[in-house]
Amino acid sequence: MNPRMIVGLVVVALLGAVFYLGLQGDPRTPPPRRLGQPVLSFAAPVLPPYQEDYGQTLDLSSYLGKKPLVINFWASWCYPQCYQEAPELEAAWRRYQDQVFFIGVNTQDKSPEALKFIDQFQLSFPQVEDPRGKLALDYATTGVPETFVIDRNGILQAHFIGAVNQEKLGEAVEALLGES
Amino acid sequence: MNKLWLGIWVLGIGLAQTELSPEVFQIARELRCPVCAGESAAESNTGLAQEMRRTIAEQLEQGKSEAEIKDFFVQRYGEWILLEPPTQGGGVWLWAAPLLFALVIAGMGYRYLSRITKEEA
Repeated sequence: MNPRMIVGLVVVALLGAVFYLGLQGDPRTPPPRRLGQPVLSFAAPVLPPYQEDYGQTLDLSSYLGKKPLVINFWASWCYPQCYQEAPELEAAWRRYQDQVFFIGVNTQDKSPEALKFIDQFQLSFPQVEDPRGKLALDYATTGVPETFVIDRNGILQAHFIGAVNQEKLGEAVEALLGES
Repeated sequence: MNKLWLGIWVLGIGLAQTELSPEVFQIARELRCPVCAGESAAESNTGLAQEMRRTIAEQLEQGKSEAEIKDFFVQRYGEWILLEPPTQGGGVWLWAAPLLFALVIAGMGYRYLSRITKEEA
């Protein structure tokens, strides 16, 4: 075969491969979160039931880089996933609360509904509110619920889109605790 | 009564959003609504898209450029948040590949036709 033709075929094959790979991904699928990257700190108003223990404002910098963290974004209108995972999160918090700090972020919700949800599931880990969704944007969420597992250096190590259960969350948390 | 308050609240949000400048919507049109299927942050009325428009408006007020505002969202979501791939860095290949492909095909076609024409002559 003519060498020029071979070069031409290789170029066409390479460009074809670019097209093929480009068509594989669904552009609507969110990109994987930046695992291994530091997360942003924030200060957010604490919902009333937790103010006695955590004050009016929870400043994440008090915990970030000092203790492993689990940050869960949820809303009372997120049915059924947030309702499915709430008891799982509470159980995980009760199990790991001495080693890991959990924070719930109630996002784009109304306080009365959020408080009803908290009461329904007797959530005992601190909950902050994000009525406008500013924190949701900072954490690049693509909906609720989403859960972020952050190591003691403030680095994102795991991210769950959709309802998380004790098993999956436990694995991610154990992996962090095993490293220390 | 609750429905009345809800209506007023929704109307209030709508009015607040319509007060945003055209520049806000122009930038939002180029950003993906993260919780929607194929809608821009300008078209969607979801809470997160509204917050994106508010954020754009706030950053414009702070004197930030369009590129800086887009970069704010790219830093969080990656280039996925841009509805059109960037024309710099790795994104340039997405624009260039179809053109290169067309040029190569045209070149090969031209050579083939030239050869056939010569053989016939």
